Amino acid sequence: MQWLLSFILRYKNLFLYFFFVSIILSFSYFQSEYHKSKIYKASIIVSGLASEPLKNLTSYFRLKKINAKLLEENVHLKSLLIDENYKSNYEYEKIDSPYSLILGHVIKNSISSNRNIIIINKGGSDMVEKEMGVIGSDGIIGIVNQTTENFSSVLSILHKDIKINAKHKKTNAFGSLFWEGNDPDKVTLSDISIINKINIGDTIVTGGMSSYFPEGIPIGKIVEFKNNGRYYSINVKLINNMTNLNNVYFLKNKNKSEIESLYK
Amino acid sequence: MNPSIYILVLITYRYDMDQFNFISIGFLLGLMMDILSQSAGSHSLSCVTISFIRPLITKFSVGPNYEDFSNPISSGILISNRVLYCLLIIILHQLILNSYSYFNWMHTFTILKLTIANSIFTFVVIISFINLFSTKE
Repeated sequence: MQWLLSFILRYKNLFLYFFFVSIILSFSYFQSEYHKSKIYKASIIVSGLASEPLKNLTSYFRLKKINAKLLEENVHLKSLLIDENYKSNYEYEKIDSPYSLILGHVIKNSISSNRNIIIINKGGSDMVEKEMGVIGSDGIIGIVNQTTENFSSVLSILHKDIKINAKHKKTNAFGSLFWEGNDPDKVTLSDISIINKINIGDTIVTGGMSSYFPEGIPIGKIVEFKNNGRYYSINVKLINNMTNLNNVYFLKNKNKSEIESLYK
Repeated sequence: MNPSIYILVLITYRYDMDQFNFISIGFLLGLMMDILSQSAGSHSLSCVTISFIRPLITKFSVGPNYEDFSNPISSGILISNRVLYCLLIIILHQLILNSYSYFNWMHTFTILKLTIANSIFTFVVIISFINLFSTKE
């Protein structure tokens, strides 16, 4: 307070000058129509110039809030998409999708070893369970391996021991998708019979034969394929960039335990 | 042409007086002129601005030790410095006055023409007044 007082006293002449100038401007505003229009025009320009940086500044501070809202919206839209996709596969039976989404944030991601693991900031307290499928903004990411109270580890699709049921979108031919441990953007799809006609650039999606992922989630595009006698060996380029993962979604399948009980 | 003789007050106001009061006097003087001449605040703005920047004008024309003299038109100050001081105040006053009256870039030439003409006329009248009413020290 003392500082403010000494500041005002130090620049009292300047304050007095601007005080009188403001009185003069308001006097001119009421006294002359010409000056009124000019001052009005100038005030619009000044407020326009001042409001733009002010708006930028406030919007910058609101970005975190907006981002959280957008992520929430994304979860909702993605679950709607999965729901819609599921319904289209079971058109005549009118079955609702058993999948729901849980948003997570990647805190550790490795791509350098043969068995890569991703750590995500959601765990048991957020209803994340073992063997839940994990998808990213474009395609699949992996399967939950372990969970703690607040964190979970995910076996990345770039893990040599993981095999995912996938299919060729055009022909619906099923196969098994795995990583050979070389390029972090390429995986191999095997066990697709040569009776199906495939082309480079065709899309590979999840097969829906496992309880991890629903049917039709994009995985990648065919970049190369070989005929190994009875089956193709297909090289698939992943749609998701596994090196810069940020926000991911856990897929919670409410029918999972029921399906698994049938295997026992 | 219209000489602004009233700025004699701003020119002759003593250096040893408080600037806070000087700015207030400048404002009241300008406001009075505006009311009398029915103008839209141009006299007030020019008077207030001159009274606010007068220390700078004085420092530029008389030198940094201007506070040694209490009277701005003291014979102790060189005549060239006194003339420069008066001219600067008159020209700046006229420039602000005309600029605010016209308030348009389109009239820049008219503003400059009026500023020069009025400044010369005001300067002659003010110097005559100062010489007429000055007392020999």
